[in-house]
Amino acid sequence: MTTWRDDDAALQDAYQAAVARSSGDCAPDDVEKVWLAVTGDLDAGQRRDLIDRMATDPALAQAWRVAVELDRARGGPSLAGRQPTRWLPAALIGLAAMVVVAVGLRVLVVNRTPADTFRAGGVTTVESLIVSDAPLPREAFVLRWKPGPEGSRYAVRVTTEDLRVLTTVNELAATEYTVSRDALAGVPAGARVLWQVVVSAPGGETISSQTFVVRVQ
Amino acid sequence: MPSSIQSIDYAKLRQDFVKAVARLCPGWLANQRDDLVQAAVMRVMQIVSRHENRASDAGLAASYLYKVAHSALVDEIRRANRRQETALDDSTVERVAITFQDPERSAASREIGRSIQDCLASMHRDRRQAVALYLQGHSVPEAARLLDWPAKRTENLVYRGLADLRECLMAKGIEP
Repeated sequence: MTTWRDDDAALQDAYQAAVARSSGDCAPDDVEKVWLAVTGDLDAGQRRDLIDRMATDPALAQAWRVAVELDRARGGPSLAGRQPTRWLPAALIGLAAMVVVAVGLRVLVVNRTPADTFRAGGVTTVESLIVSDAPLPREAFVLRWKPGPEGSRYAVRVTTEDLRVLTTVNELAATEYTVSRDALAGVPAGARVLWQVVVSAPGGETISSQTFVVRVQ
Repeated sequence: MPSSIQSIDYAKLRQDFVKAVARLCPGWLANQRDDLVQAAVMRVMQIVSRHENRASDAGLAASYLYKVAHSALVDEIRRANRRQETALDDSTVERVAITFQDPERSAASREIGRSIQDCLASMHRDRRQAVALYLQGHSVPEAARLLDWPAKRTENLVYRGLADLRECLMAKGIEP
């Protein structure tokens, strides 16, 4: 049986960090081809050729990511399919990459379980019910998310942008969690706070959400 | 102007840009997100306006619009990245708000990214394609659809490709 490793996530992070920072050019024709490939309007052979080039061309890879996210945003029936359950802002990706340099790929900023996004194949996603980047008042800093399968338990981790852990909680039955005012005491107004939910379904499946972002009002 | 172009819902397009940029936009571009979206929408408007007579029916127009929108967004993100690089090179620019713009960190990240790309370049083609999609964050079913391969084959290729990648990185002194 295929076994996926935690350090696979670090490889993804490092690759995506390189892609996110790309300011290189790629030919307009290639940009168009990327869109056509992602939306399924390029034949399979050409699509594979493009993917092959994308592997080593950060500018093309960036165009690919933009196409995937734009197509998802418009609700397009793309070949790329569902929204991934795992995502990190590039800020975290950059930090992850630094950690990788410092201590090797063994140490990660993301907790992954055997049933991570890749293995789950998008079976379940964890969605925030808070608009991304929304300001939340300190006195009612309530994080909410869509419920997992009935009987699920939830773990929540809340950090600052520089990954200082503000609070963690496990074994929640509710699909919301209020971060205490005390936990937010050192966070200045307007600062971004990152949060992530891990759903433990009754069947034993564990699914991590992407990293969500809110602001402290 | 064809009716399909006249009826372009730019508010929806803007919303889609906002969603996409929120997911794509690195933290160090956060302050520029609104500007970036606005610039991309304006660019789309300009391009559509220039090419308005080329779209002959609603289907074509919708497809055309998002193709243009993709291109515009790619350009604007690239532009923003370049501006950011310039700002980092300019010691007079205030860096306080750029939380993660540590040049050493960026350099380290770039170095690892380059190493991964070098390793991918030397990998067997099929494995490289499967791994590239995985590294982009695609699941096995997605990668299988994109490559038009069976899921099991795709999974095996990703798995073996990742093993190759780790081995290659180790040879470069990056120990997985």
